Amino acid sequence: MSSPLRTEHFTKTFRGVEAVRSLTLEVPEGAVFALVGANGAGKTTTIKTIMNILRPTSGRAEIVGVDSRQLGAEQLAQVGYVSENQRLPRWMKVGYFLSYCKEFYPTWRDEDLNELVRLYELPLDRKLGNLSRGMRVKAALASSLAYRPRLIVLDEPFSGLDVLVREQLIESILERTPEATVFLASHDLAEIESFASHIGYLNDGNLEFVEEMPTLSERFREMEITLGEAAALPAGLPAAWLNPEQTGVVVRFTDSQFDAARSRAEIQQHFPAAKEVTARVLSLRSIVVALAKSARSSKGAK
Amino acid sequence: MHLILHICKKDVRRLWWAILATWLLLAALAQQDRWRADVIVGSAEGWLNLLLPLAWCCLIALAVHEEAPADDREFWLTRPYRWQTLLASKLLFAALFIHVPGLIADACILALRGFQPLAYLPELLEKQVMVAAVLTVPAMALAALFASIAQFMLAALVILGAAAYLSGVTQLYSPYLPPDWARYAVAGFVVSAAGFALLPLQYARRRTIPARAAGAAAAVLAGLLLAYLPANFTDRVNAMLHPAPGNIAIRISPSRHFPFPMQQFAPWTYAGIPLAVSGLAAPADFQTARVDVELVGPDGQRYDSAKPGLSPDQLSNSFWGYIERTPDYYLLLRLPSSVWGRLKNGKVRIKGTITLWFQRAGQTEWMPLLGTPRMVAGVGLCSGNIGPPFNMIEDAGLKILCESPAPFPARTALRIWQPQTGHSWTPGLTDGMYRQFGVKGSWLSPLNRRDSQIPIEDPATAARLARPDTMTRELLQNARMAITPYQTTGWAVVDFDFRDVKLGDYVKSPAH
Repeated sequence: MSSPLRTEHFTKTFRGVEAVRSLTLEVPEGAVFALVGANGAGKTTTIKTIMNILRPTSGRAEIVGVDSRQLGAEQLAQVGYVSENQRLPRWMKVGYFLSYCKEFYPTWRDEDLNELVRLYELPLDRKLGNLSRGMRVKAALASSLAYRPRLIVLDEPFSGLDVLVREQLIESILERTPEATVFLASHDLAEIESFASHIGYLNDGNLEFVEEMPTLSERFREMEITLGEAAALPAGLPAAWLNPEQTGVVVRFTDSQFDAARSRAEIQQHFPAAKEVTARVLSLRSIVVALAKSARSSKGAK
Repeated sequence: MHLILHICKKDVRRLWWAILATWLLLAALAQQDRWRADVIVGSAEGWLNLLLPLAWCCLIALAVHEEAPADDREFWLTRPYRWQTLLASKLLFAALFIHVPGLIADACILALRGFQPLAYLPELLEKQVMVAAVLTVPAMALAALFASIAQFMLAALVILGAAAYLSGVTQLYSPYLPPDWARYAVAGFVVSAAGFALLPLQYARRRTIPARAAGAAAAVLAGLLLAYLPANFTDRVNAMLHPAPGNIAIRISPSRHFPFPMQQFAPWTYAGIPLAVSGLAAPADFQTARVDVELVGPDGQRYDSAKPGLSPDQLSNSFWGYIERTPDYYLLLRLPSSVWGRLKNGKVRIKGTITLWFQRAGQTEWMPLLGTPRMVAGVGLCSGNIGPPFNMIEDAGLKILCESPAPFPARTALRIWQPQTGHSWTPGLTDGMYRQFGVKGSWLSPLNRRDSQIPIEDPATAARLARPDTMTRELLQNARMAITPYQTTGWAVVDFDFRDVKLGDYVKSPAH
């Protein structure tokens, strides 16, 4: 089956400033793809371009088999989109909003909606404008899941929500639409670590890597070496060792190409006096922080 | 269609209060119009003619902004809306809540003022098409270019303000000049075409920045056309559409002098140049309309006659050229002393254009002057009434009013005749625009009105004045009125160029 979402050398420029630079990615069918990066990295621009809210300056994006610029009602009926920036009709009561949306989707299922309303405890007789942010996201999500979209696009949907609500929403997305492909942008790494199958890391408009989550976890380790005596950090350390630092006899770095045997050999080569070496598994958050720090310091060095 | 109605119903649910507000304004305007038996528009009606279009613009903008095409955060952008469906729903909304109520209000006004609305359905529909072309669609397009109501209102006020200013400075109201329709039609066409082009483009492509640039360019172009098209542009269009037959020429008639004493009022000097019109295909009745004159003095200095657009001060200090019929034709030049001083001693070149408006008299219809209104073929519903004086010094005022949903003929001749005494008066029937000041527009009225106002003197004053044309109440009893419509048969804009003219020869009165 074709990829429900792909981009080819897509670049978006705002008044001469490149917000996204030659982005090429392909989201496999059924994946939960998280596009991560700091604020301003270009995540929202990417999503808006994919959804044809913005137009690419060059390159192209394709969604459910169609060029994003040609996105029409037929394709949008297969896509669920929820964004933190989305402006919902605040004057509508939740019940009316849901029944209003229903008419646009041939595959709308009332039974799914009823279940979502019950699950999210949506107050049908209250106006969207009077709801909390969490409730508004729930209403938007309910209106985007009730027709079982093939692709769900989420732009920072859970930011600012408490952990319980976030967990509930994530669970409901995965349970309600098990066959859907999910593409979400987030800078809150803790929220996506538990369910993302693929990670794309966007840094300052550049896609640094795209990787499956298990491979990524395997690849990164926080290394701590205890030396016999204090000495300066040697020159010519491997490029895969990110952010090396030394405190007394302890040297720390993030190994971005961890392989037990190879890493041990490299450590022996650069630190022959190493007394103890420990390798700790990193959370997604720590991986991204390490990458960001490394990118910042290499930018500073330039 | 289902989704068009679905979106439209949602907009009604959201905007019922705004719809109601426009309906209230429309009802108030209809009420004012229904009771107006006058060309002059009352202050309330004038303001309503301004407020209602603004309210309609707001309503349109609110409806468009329910799914604003220019806002990239709108939820509808990622829902399966077809742009054609969305646009159709907004057009349906405008039709249902602006144009249908407008049509109904117009039909009510007509019915209450003694007309059969169905007989004038083409005129009523034409008016709605006109409102859609110059107001609804451009306002929708404008709303589609902005992300917020505040931005839209600011842009709308700037455009309307500029249009009002330009319209004010480009018009020279005169009961003697034909309507300057072509200038407004061209400017209106540009605005309307821009609206019709940008509206679907913006809904289909949402390219807001280029669309705004195109909209601004169209607005500027319309303004430039309104301001800078030649003063006789409409006359030339008329002459192109309905050319008068013949090879018409105008020259100075050497054998005549202006037959009346030329009273010289400082600081002006008047010169009356006798004209002869030749080359007519057949004897024809024509009026002279606009006259544009350029004088070239002995020193080569050029002087243009006053044009619309000048301020009142400039107008009073400019030289004027106009035609006087006695019944021979004379080109009268009113020259300020500063101009006269430079021209009086040398030979002058006089050139320019005179517009001739050819007309043919239709059927004359006689009716009692006072009494129930009567339908006059080709004119409309006409009536005469004696009412309060038009100013404090008279006994009363006679007002003759004709109204019609159809356009008025080129000219309507009136004759009031007292069969017992043989007294006769021939007042003109005008649209009264030159008598209106302030916010007195009536462009939303379904009725065209023309009137004539004649002062009535009390018998003592009439005896003291001892003038044969003085009108009294007694003379108007059993008087009759003849109404003759004149239809346009053709137009000619005739260029003239008189060289080596000694203006002094035409300044002296016959007494000299």
